[in-house]
Amino acid sequence: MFVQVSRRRAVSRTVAVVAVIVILVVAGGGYYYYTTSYVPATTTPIKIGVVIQESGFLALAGVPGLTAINIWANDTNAAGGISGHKVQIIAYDDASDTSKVPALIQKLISVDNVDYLVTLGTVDTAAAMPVASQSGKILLGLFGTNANAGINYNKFFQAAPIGPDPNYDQVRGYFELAASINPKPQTVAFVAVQNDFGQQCSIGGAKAAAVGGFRIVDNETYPPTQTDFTSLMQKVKSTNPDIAFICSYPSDSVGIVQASKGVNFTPKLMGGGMIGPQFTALEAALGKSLQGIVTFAYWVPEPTLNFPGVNSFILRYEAVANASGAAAFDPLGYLYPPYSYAAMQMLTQAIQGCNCFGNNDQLGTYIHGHTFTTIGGNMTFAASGEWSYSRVLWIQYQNIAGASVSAFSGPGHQVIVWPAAYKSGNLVYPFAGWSG
Amino acid sequence: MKRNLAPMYLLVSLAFGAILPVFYKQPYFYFASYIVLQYVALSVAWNLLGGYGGYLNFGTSAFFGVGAYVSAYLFNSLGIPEVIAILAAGAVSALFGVLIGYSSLRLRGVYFAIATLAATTLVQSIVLNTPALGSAVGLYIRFPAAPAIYGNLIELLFVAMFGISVVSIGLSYWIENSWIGRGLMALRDDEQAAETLGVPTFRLKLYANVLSGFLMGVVGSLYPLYIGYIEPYSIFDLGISFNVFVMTFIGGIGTWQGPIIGALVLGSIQQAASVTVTSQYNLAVVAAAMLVFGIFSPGGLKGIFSRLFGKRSTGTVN
Repeated sequence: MFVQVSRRRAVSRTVAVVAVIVILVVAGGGYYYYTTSYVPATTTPIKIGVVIQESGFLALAGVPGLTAINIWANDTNAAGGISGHKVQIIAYDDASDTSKVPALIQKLISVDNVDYLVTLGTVDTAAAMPVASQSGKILLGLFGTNANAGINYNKFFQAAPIGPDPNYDQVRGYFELAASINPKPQTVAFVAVQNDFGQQCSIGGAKAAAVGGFRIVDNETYPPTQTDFTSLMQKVKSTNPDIAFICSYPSDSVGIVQASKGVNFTPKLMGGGMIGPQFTALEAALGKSLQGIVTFAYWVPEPTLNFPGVNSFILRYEAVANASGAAAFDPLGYLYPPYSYAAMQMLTQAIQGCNCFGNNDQLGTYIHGHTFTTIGGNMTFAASGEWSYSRVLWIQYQNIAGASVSAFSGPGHQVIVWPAAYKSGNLVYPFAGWSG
Repeated sequence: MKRNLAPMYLLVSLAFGAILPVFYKQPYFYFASYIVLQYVALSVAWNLLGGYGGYLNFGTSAFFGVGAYVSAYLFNSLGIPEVIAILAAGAVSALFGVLIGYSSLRLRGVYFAIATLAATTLVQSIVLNTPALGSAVGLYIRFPAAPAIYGNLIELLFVAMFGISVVSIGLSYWIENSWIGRGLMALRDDEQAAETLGVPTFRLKLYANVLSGFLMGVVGSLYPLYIGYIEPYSIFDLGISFNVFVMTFIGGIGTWQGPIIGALVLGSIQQAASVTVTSQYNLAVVAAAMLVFGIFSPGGLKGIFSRLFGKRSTGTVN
């Protein structure tokens, strides 16, 4: 007995079967390629595996960071490589989604056979740590606070000059600056975003306030999704603090500045651990509203921070960023690029000095035991992988002409007011109120 | 007499998952597959209430997160063995399902969906303000040793997630073909008519919600061991809920095969895209796929296969 099948239906079935076969063959071929095509190199090149935020809300950090790494790779290869080995960057975008990090790190390790690993930010670095530590490879963290707290991996090294006690070292300068003012301000109001950074900033701030003898008169937190800060800042204003200590993320920093201006909240010292003002795009958007605000920085183009090579790097970064599109994320490159490049310089010097490419144990020990001269100054590391000393800078926005990138370009706009060793100008105190 | 081969398929699948890592050693395969399988299990669990019952739950990440935090806390802070921590995580998520069910399953349509979204925000806020759970800073996870038969922890996690997925699928298959599934489908089609005919609608919805919550909690309980560090924003990310909904929708909502197909296809595409093209358009691809399927094939991939090969898809959601 034969079953009659319509011609149209028979064609559809055939197309479906062919489509399934094609999908299976392509998928199988792709998988075969990824698992077998790479032959581990023993001599060349040195492969640097990077998992970074090229898209998503942290691309403001990831794109400039990766641009700096690529500049380092070009510079290194133009100079003949590291001990004769060319360097190759293999970078994956985690789209600011932490759940992607372990698999991408594992792919770099077991499929791409990279030699060293790089991540950016606290959460991504923490998510990379278990896989990286099992592999025994060197992991360079570009920025982030206390990301090694859970595992204490001895081959992890963090690029930003925060210091061995990250929570405290990140913010103590603000309170030491306030304590040095005569007459000394007495009260402080805390405002912190409820995320990893905000909470660590608050913890460090509370410790520093206690050490400095400040009385906390208000302690506010808010969710990262909050967009309107008018009521919050009105409440903070009602407590009449001498100084404000704000721990905020980029978009909230903008909202807090606008709301503080709106309710005319004018403490004698305005600022704190604010992430955001350092981003050129936000600086250009806020313009004169930033005048007088004090916040942290790691590098700014002041004459007291003229480390060998840093100014020429910044010029090259700006040229590359303009050509590559990274300028849309950071046209000036003062925040993330210098230390991203410096971390790679450190790696170069370590591999050359140790002469132990391929032996991560020896290289890790070598890094722990030596000082490296970079465009970010001298780097030495504590057992935790953080810098062995702190060089967080506190800057005050001064001489802001308007809302444009050029208003923040070059020296004189982000004046270093703490620490004394790098001071490039005097603190304007008390806060003169809002302008712009 | 027709023999039921389902238990045999179940056992063979479990055995296959358990021995695969013994013979095939490629850690990246297990890392990538773990996430795909995680979405298979979550989608199958979601389908119990959302697919059969027609109640769209956008709180997947809440159940997943409850499981993750309970297991991380028990295992990490109290030193309780992982297996007990995993089961406890499932139990607490099931209890959470009871609470959410009692309070919101009398709502219908968009109101229930909104209630599940609110539940996610509620749990996230509780975690954010609980220092024992790490608050906003999060929790770092202490890793257990992998048994000798497996080379490392990820192989063990793959086996565990494979097992959870297979058991979830088995449960889903059983429910679809039992009085519970028939009752849920009846209330999906017309809840008042089903009630009139004696179907215990509220009880069935509650059963489905609790079982779904239990499975999602168990899935979430393994995630801290996979990621090594958990914090409230990535754990309670609405992207997880959205992904699960779209995977089920694209695969074929309301059928036991649909969530498996959707999660395998979409999950694999997402994993492949993140190392070939870019992760940048991940959710955009997911949303676009949902639009295309919503317009041209509401029955999903399962519906297309059924049309082509002669079997009718059973599930639709109004």
